[in-house]
This record gives sequence, structure tokens and C-alpha cells, in this order.
Amino acid sequence: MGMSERELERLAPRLGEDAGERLDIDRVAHRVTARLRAAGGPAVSLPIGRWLALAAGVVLMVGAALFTFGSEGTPPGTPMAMAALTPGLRDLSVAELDQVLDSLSAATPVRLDGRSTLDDLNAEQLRTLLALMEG
Amino acid sequence: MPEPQPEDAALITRWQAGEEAAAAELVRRHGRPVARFLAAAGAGEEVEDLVQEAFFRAFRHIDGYRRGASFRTWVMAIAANALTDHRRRRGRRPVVALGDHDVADERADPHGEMVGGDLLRRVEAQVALLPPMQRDVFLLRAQQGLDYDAIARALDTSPGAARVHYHHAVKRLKRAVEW
Repeated sequence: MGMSERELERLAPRLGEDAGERLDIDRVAHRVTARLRAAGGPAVSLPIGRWLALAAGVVLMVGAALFTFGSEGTPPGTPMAMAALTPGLRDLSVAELDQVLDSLSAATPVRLDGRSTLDDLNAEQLRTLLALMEG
Repeated sequence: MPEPQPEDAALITRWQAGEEAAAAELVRRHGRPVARFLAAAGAGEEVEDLVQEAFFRAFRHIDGYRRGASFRTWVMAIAANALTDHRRRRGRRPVVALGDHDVADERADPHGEMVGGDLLRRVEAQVALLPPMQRDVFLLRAQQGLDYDAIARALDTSPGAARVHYHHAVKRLKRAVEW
């Protein structure tokens, strides 16, 4: 019999408790401060904010383009198992769906046909794939 | 009457001003929960080194800490990244420490017999095998008791996505852990 969610949540706060108790906290504090001293304290901030903003903008633009292109390219009548979707998936952005998909595919290998990659899928297709992988 | 403990924010400010003792105090304050988080994530015998690494990275890059957010949660997110980096470097599968869980649960309830060491070990083993994002969301929510907003801020995702990761983690764990 599989475990119930309630039981799992009741057990979860105890996970790793032995390691917490065993940790020599003073030794860790000493080692951290020694490393910090050797490294010269906090790292000097680099002016990368503008680069990050620029990179984020590019990612957004590419994502939007993929989304638009994918939506237009969806063949009519593509089977969609929408009724089986995980609650909440509809509210996620393409990037977030990608993130969930990455997470799932780490343990559930997905094989696409030779012509397609994940980048070719639109948001609806990603949702459907997620639902199918979820089983 | 004992002296009131300084807030984390005050200690962080003192560290930024170069006070090493403030960093040490933050490690003492939050090190054990971070160790529990890492152990549950499958860090095995590397827990202490990874706790050290997480705090080192946090203090080195303290400018990345957003005032008002939980320092502990921020360090946990850094610890999760450190664990992922560590595994990638070593090319290792997660390690599940065989601790002293066989001790009877003193907080026993009607299901107390089942919530014993063996079950705890099996759940830990399965948590360690979850994909990193599911694992981190599950632990921050179920082990650390954070809400989805806090988890989303810590893991740089949205509350909706965190909810979905949690759903998948729980579903997988329920299926994987037989009892």
C-alpha cells in the first residue's frame, strides 16, 4: 500500500534530524570564518546588473517568439488530454512549464520523434506532455 | 534576564562591516536546520562540508541576500545548489545516510509504530532520488514548513510552479514508499 499524503507530511519534519543533531556547529562556524578570512571577506560586487537585465530581456523575447510560433504552428485537432491536467498547470508560464518538465524528465525519460524537440512544443503541448508523463 | 538576541538582519549588517563573529553567530543559529535539509536531500556523509560551503557562499555573496527575506531559507537554497554542484562534479547518485532512526518515535500517535525508523529511512531514500526542484520544494514545504510564496522566492520560481513541483513530489513519494 502506498503512503498517504497526510502520513508523509507528518513524517517529513523528522527527515534528516540525526544529521542536524550530529553536526558540530562550532567546528563549522570556525571553518566558515577561516575560509572567509582567507578569501578576504565578502566578494566585491561586480556591475553585472545590466548584463543580467539584458540577458533576461533576450530570454523573454525568445520565449515569446517560440510561444507565438508554436501556437500558430499547432495543427488543428491535435489530441489534448486537457481533462487530465494537473490542477494549476494552466496558470504557469512557458518558462515555468519548462522547469517542471525538466524536473519530471530527470526521472522520466521522454522520447520525442526524430523531427521534434521540446523547443518545438507550444504551451498547450507542453501541458499535455506533462500530464502524460505524470501518468 | 537574558540579553535579547540580535536579529539576523543586524548580524548580516555587522558581517558586511567586517565583523567575523557575526557570521559565526549566524552559522550557529541556522546551521543545524540547513544540515537537516541537506541530509534529507541525500547529502550523506558530505553534510558538514556542504553546510560549510553553503554558508561560505552565502557570506561571500551577501549582496545577493534580499532584506526582509528569511536568511535561513536563502542559505538553504544555496545549500541545495551546492549539493547539486557537488553531485555533478562527483557524478554521484544521492547518498542516503543510515542514521540512528531505529529508535522508537517518542512522539508516537495512533500510527506511531509505523512512523518508525525504517519508514523514515525509506522516505529519506526516496526524497533523495527526486529531481532537485521537486526535492527542494518538498523539503522546504514539508520539512521546513514554508509557504509557497516563501519557497518561490527562495528557489526563484513562482508560487504556482512550486505548488506543481510539490504535487509531483508527493505523488511520486506516495507511490514509491510502500508500508
